[in-house]
Amino acid sequence: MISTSHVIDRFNVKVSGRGTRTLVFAHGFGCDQAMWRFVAPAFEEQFRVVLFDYAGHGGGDPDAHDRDRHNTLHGYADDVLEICDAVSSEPVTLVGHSVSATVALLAAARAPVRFDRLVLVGPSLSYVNDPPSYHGGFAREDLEGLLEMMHKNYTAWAGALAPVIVANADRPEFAEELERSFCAIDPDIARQFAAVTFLSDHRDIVSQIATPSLILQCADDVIAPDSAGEFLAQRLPNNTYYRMVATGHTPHLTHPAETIAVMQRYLSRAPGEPLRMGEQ
Amino acid sequence: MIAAERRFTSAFDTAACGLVVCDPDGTIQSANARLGHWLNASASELTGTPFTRILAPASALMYEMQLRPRLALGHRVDGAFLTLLYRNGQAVPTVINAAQHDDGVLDVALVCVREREAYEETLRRAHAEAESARAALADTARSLRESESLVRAQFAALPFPTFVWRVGPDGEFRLDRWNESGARLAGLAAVPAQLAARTAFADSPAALDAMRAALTEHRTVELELNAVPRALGDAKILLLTVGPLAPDRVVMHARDITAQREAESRQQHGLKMQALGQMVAGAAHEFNNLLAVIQGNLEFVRHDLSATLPSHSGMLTDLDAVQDATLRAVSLVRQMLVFSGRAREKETSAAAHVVVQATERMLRPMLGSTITLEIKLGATHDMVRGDGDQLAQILTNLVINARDAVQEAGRDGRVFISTSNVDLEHPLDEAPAGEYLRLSVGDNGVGMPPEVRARAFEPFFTTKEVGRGTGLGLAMIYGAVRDLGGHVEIESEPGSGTTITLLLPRADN
Repeated sequence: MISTSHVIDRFNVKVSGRGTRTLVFAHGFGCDQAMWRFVAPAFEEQFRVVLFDYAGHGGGDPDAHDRDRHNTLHGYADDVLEICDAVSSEPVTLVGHSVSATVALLAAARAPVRFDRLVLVGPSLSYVNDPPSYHGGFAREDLEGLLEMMHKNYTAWAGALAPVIVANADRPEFAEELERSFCAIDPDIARQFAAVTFLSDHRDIVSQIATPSLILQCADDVIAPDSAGEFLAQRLPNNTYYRMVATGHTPHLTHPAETIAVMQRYLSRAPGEPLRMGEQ
Repeated sequence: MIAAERRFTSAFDTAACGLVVCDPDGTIQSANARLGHWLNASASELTGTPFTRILAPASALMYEMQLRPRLALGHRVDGAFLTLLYRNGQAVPTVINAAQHDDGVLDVALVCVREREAYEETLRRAHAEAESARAALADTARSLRESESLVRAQFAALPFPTFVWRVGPDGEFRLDRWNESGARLAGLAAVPAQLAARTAFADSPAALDAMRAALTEHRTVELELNAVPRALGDAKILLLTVGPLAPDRVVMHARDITAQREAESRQQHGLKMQALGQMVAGAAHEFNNLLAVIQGNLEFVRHDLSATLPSHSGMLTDLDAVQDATLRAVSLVRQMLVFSGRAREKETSAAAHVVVQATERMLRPMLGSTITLEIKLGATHDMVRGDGDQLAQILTNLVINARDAVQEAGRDGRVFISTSNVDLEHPLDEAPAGEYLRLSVGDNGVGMPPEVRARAFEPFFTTKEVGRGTGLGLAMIYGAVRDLGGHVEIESEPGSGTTITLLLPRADN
């Protein structure tokens, strides 16, 4: 039995904010909890906000990565469940970006009582096309090319992702964090996580979920195309689908205001109640 | 357009790298001519296109997942690898630098690295080639080591003595290596190798000449080395084969041919004795026939004369002398026939110890008081093939020879007779393997020099003054014993004595 304090350390768990409800943010592939920098603080007034790093990501303990456990997304879902158990005995709201949207669904399927709502940012249950019924956005060889390219960037061009700080007088608060590594990922762990992320297919999970959810679908997202979001919207029980103005795959970074607004509106309403954002 | 702006636009378009400015949405606001050129599109065509659309799918993913978040968080991207997609689907590998302004506008500079990629590929290939060359070298080194140890093992296992000599700048040959068989031959284990081998070979002028000739004339030299010094213990006859090992070594194989040479000389001796036997036999037969006529006619003459002459006639006395001489001649001829093996009578056997004891009584008086006769009959089986009288004659001959040798030495001496049983495992000259009685007669007399010993069995060969010996004694013994299927050996050392040993085939088995 791994103690609670161990969980906190292993996953570099940070808790802030006030409130009775807990909001757990799970970062996606390729970064760490810094991804939520522009969004999470907005919820600290009303929620306990929990951030964490997966093992080998950012401040997450690389030794907590287990090649067998983390060879499927179920291993990551187990990590999330451990974190939720450690931070709250009540059901929490889990916000998952990209691959962590899938991790959130797997965790909710495993332990439905641990979650009151899910927020799925740029979700895709499978990145691989499965014609004619499913369009994930990529042919298998594209994804294999991605893995190769990542390998290249991590090894041959090792300098590419090393932190280089832009002198930015307007945002001095970054300095401290930027001085330690930013989005530093153990290359071996990243390679395995990328393969697990991009080559797995969890479309069959949808029927096992009863937890209410918000689907945030970006415009012009090359990673999670509209078809991926719509696949979920059509099959996931109790979901609220919202197509953002934000483009790309990381609305919480590029369009934080829109992201915060949609989430606040969703979290302030009863589950299943329409958002009607357009009326605002 | 004001001049500064024009200059900037010109610099933007003619830059050696691709340049892109994107709005916060990631849509291309402007791209320079260089980028357009790479993508086979005009700069204006690129305007309004999402930046991710000019990337290959994998690169688009990479950009969205890893680069864009970093840029959004205020980091530069410096030297990341991305692949652009040319319109016809061809990939353009690039390295990009990018930074996002506070207003979300993104500047991207791209450097085409097709050459760099090719260079890297060349490097990788060179590295792989170097690696495989290194592996091949290691293989070669290993097989060299293996074949070297194989050669070493072969050298060590060579069944004949082998030495490698190395000539020094001083022209001296020093032993470089040798195999086990060589060590045994030259006694290298017992004494310092260099010394032993030097004494054994290099001190011999003939061997040195051979080594020099092999090295300077690049040929194989063969020589027979006699009387090799005492490092080898017993004197040996060696056949040396010396061959050159360029540049400064010679290899020497040494074959011990002592036994071969001895066998050859024994064979030659045997052939000689055989030839002598034939000659002697022919002569003896002729004489025998003539003597028969002489003897017969002498009888007739005596018969006729005794009828007419008084019994004390001087003529009859003369006739007796003639008859005595004739009888001695007949006896000689008979010994000659024994030597030549033509006197063999019926198969008989004799108890050797009985013969020795009977002969002893007759012999002791002949030896006188200054010579002791020691008799040691150690054999447990004394029945031998042959005739008892003949054996007594042989024994008498040997003891008389021994006595003469002791007397010649001019001192008090001793003569000894001994017997024992031996079992020959291998044939000895003409004596087959089997059980024998060994009968030795020895003395501490003058002994024989080697040249005498070598001819001792020849008929009519004698060292005694004329008239004292016939030279038939040992020849007769040799012929008789060989005729029985036995063997005769002489051991003799000048000054210390002679022992003659007979191996007589046993008759009781």
